[in-house]
Amino acid sequence: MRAGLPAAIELRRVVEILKRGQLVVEHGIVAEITDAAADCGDIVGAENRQRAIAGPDQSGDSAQQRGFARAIGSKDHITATGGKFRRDLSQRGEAAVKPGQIAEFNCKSTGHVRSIRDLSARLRERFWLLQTYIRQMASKKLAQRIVKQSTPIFLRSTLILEYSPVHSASTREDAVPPSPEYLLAAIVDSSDDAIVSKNLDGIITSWNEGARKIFGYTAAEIVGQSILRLVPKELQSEEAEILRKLKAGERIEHYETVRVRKNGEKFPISVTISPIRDRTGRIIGGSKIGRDIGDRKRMDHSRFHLAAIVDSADDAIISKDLNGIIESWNQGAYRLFGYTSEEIVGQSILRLIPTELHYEEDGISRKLRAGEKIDHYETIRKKKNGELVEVSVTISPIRDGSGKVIGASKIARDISDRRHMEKTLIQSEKLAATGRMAAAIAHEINNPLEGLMNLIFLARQSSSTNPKAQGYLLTAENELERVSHIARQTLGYYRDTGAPTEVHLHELIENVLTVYQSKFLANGITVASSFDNLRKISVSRGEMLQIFSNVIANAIDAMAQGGKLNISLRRTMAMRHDGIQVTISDEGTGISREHLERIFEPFFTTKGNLGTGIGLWVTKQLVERRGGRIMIVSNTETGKSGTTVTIDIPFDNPMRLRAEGAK
Amino acid sequence: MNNIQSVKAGTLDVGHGPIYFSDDWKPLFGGNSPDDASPLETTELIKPRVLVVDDEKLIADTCAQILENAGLDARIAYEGWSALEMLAAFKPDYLLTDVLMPGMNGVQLAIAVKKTFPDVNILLFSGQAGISEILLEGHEQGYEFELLAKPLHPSKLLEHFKKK
Repeated sequence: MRAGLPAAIELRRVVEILKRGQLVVEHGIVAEITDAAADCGDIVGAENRQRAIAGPDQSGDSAQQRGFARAIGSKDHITATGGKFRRDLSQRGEAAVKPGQIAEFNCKSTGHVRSIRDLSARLRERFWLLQTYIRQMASKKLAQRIVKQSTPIFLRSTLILEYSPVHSASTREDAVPPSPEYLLAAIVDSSDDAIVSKNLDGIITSWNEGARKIFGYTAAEIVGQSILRLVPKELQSEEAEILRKLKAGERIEHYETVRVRKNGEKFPISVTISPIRDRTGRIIGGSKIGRDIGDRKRMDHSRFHLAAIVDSADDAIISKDLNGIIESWNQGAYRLFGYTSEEIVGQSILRLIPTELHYEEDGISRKLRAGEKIDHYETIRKKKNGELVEVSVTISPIRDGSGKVIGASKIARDISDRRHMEKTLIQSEKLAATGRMAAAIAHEINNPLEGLMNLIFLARQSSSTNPKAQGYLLTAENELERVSHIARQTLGYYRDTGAPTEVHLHELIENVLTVYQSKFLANGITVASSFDNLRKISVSRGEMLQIFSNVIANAIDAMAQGGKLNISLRRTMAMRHDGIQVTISDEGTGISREHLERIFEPFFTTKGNLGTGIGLWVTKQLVERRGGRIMIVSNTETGKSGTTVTIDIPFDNPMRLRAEGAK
Repeated sequence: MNNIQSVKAGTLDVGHGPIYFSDDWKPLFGGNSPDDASPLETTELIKPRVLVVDDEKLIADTCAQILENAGLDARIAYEGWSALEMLAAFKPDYLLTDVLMPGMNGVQLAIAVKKTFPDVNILLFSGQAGISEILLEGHEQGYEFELLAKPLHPSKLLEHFKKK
């Protein structure tokens, strides 16, 4: 390697692995090819190399333009020099590269490439790559100091790098500052857009790689040809107009039209055309930047398609930016929240969140920024009318082309109905579980109780001679009776005392009244009953007896000072629940408002030690199990006090029908 | 009273099946206690026969003793099949049976008894709440049985046998 001389370096087989827009690993080989290039005879030193790239002729009236044109593929120069250079390389292959001149690199990136903002993304990557290479070179003592301003110039996969070996003190001066022309040439060549220049006669003067890809012609084929070869016959009149505008110095921006490829295929293109001037400002031609928008057109189509799907979805689909500003709003969102798209787009997402839940949004944003998705998050949201709604939300980050999170999509589903069903289901599950437990406990308690009761009874019979023992046993028996009573009331409610039978409800109630006859007399209670002539009803006799005796016993307790007990039965007609309504009202002390709310709770009692707090709870369970309803209204006002219990029992038991339907 | 005692003893000696009897109860018999004022005293010669079936020995034994003390002729089986075996020889007036028992349950036993001895009065006796399905089994075959719930005070239990 000659000291103080710039070197040519070729970059081969580069593998770039992009992960979320971040360059992670690169692997490839950089070969020093200065000698190989020198052997070609064309490019030896900086002068020649520069010539190869930018063209040697910096003089002349259109030097700038020519340099530009050459750099991007004008055949006069590049093919004469650079072409040879490349050809030569390819003939020599890797064998031409001497050992020690190959630097292999394989390194991990630690972050985004940030340093060179004004280069295109692609160039930026390459530049970073180059820097990596330079570091590698330095560490391998191939070159210990690289001139900072050295600029990578790429021609296809070949890069030429200026560097100075460390031993030469004068190398700094040898460093050639990058010419903006190189940069432009590189940009033009690396562009995916077609960049073409033409003169005022419509003759193509330059043709970049992007143009080759889009149109299919190589530079050699098309440079010097009329631009009309790219224009479909029916649109050739456009060209005259374009040329007229160019001559007038006008710029044509994003003009969408149709062009034709080498293979005859027509395709949509967006073109921007600008006049090219020489140093004196005279217009000498035009530059054309064309972008194949076939993909975009297809994307537009699929975008409309997607939009239609989004709009027809039942779920609310919303997008927002990272600041929580709503950007899109579908029909489903309108149906769920009540806001129209016009009202809400541009507003903060917080408008949909109840104030006390605003903190949720912070957590959501944090997760989104980290790129996380939030799946089926169940929460509460607020509608336009202020009503709260239970929703299940799935939130996903939206990324731009480079993978950066720029916002979020939110899919929300109203789950109020589902929630309500779940609650009902849990409630009935609970009831069933309680029932099963009660049944199990009942068995374990009732059998020993029966045994105990029998034993005490027998003990009492056998110890009849000892009055003290008799007394103890009698007390024990009474205590046992108390336990049995509680067990019957709590655990017995589940007991099904036989299959339902057809009974006259009023007869059943009269039976209960007979049982309590002595209590009515003792408390000074009069009973007034009015029973319509009613049809029989299919009920479990035992359960009905328990229901009515509980309610009537309560009425008796409430009327310690006497009063009137009214019992009436009437037939009710309803859409679906034709049935019997039993009304039992007393003139007792009444139930206070705060107690009334709790009377159906288990173990709630106002009777102190005398009450178990089970009666009405069990009553309610039994009525509801039969498909009926129990309601209690009460008044504690002196003189008007009293309680009315209304029990509705349908002729058809909906619970039973359901059970049968399930079988 | 003495007469009853002797009959009782006789029953014991014959020893039909797994009949429970203990010497401890002997002094009781004859009923000195007020509870023991049996209504059956006057019909002592034709004492109603009760077959008590329960897999819980304590309950079966004490029930039988209480019935004996009240002047009935009670025998015991601890499960359905032996109850059926005893039936033909004992010819009970009453069958008092638990419902939930291993092997043959009370309702199955009751149905079998009803088929062969339609005159036997059957009382189901259960402390179990979840027996509605078993009862339904009988109901579907056209049988309805009276069900007594445990715990039941012995005096109440005896009422069911007085009625006859």
